[in-house]
Amino acid sequence: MYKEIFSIINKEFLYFIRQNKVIFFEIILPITSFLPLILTVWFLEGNTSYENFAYFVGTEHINNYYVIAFFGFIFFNISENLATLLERELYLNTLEQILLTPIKYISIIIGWFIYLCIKSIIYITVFYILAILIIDTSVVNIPLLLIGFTLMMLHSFILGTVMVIITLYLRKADAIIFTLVGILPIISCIVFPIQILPLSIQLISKLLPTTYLFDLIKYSLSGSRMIFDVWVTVLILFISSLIMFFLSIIFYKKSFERLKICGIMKY
Amino acid sequence: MIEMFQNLKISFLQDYRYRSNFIFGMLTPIFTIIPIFFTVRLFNLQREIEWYLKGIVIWFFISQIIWGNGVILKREKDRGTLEQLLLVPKNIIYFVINSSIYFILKAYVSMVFIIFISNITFGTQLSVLMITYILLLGFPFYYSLSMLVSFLCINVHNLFPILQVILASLMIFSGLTYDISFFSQFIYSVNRLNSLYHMISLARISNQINVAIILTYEALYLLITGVISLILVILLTNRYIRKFKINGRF
Repeated sequence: MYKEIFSIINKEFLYFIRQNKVIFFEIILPITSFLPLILTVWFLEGNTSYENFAYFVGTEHINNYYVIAFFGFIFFNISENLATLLERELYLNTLEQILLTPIKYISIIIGWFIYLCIKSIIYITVFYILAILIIDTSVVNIPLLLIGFTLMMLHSFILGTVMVIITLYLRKADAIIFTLVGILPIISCIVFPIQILPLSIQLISKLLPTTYLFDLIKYSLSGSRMIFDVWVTVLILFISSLIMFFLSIIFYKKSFERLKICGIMKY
Repeated sequence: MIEMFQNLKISFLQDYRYRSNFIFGMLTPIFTIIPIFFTVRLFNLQREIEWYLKGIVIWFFISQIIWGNGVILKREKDRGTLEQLLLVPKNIIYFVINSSIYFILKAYVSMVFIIFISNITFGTQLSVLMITYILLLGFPFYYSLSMLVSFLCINVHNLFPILQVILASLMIFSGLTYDISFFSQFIYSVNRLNSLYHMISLARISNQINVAIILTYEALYLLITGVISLILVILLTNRYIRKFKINGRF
């Protein structure tokens, strides 16, 4: 299995390296994506009073608080790209060949996930260097941030698997995935506290594990007010991730095996 | 004209076939404005919401056009029909223009939808006519930019990072959610060469349509740079196409 996973990672890196133009753009993507955010925070910091922000969020660490947007970017980038990688194989008509090789269904998705994680860690390093140099950020609770980051990766894998299942079923699922990626950050309250949402949406937000996930990371970054206590949040996340992990893997296995039997054309 | 309607029909039929794609695609603009409302509330900036919204609405429209034009030729290349398109007696620029009309219309409808939603739900007083007027003034500039992107992306396998970087770079210097003069006088002075910045500034300073707008420094700059860039892009793409017709590759 390790060899299979390694071969998938190797394949993706070889594919990545072959495209000279894209490498350059992939490297500068985190910089260009986050400069607008950094500049907006800088502008708001110098142009507005903290009172309202502190009242809602429970902290005055505005710079630290907005670093969460980057974690959100990584989270959704991994999930969305898992589906995009599958879509690419569908589009290039190579999925059928992959299906017929002895590679296991789980090795494919884990290989893609590890490849995306490596890219994300590079992004995070570049971003943090920029953030520390430009907007003077720090972390309030590093061990908790590491726990939050690990849980975030696990959740991004789960969401990515769900998106892969959607793509396998619908084949042309770009718009649904874009919508999911558009709506989830809002309902999960990534860059604002839950109290700012209308009451009806707050109820929906509280049903999503991603709300607690980003709540935990925001707390570890800036010491912001939380919905529940730290350990209750960690427990909720741990249990929800376990349940969803197994559910997503079961559904992924089912759709993959069905695809293996029917083939792409009849699927 | 007939070709234009044919292209419109093809695009419409494609959307009709994949209805879920169309519906979810049209929902996307709402997700771009909702975080702005919450952030504005978080910082108690409700009185300045129109300042932010004007930038977002214009940016949304421009990014849709750049994104859409970016994939037109790439899609033809992937289907294997680009070679045929380049060898027909008609200039490929007409094909790009015809194909882009459908998503210009779609982007416009989405933009009007955003304005209505924000006017009804959040009590803003954005004028559709005013924004349309500004968008028309800047059209030659951002459309020529999108044509350039379209040709740049032909030979690229993975378009997303490239388009994201192009859009994000334009976003940084267009003063979308911040005033560039706030950061550094030097950057502000250099950025005065940027037409997109002038376009957003023009939308922010004008409240109603009148002839005087066209005589402002921003509008004149926008029009002149637009016409120059359009001519340059047409000349450049013609050279590009000629090179292809001789060599058989880009």
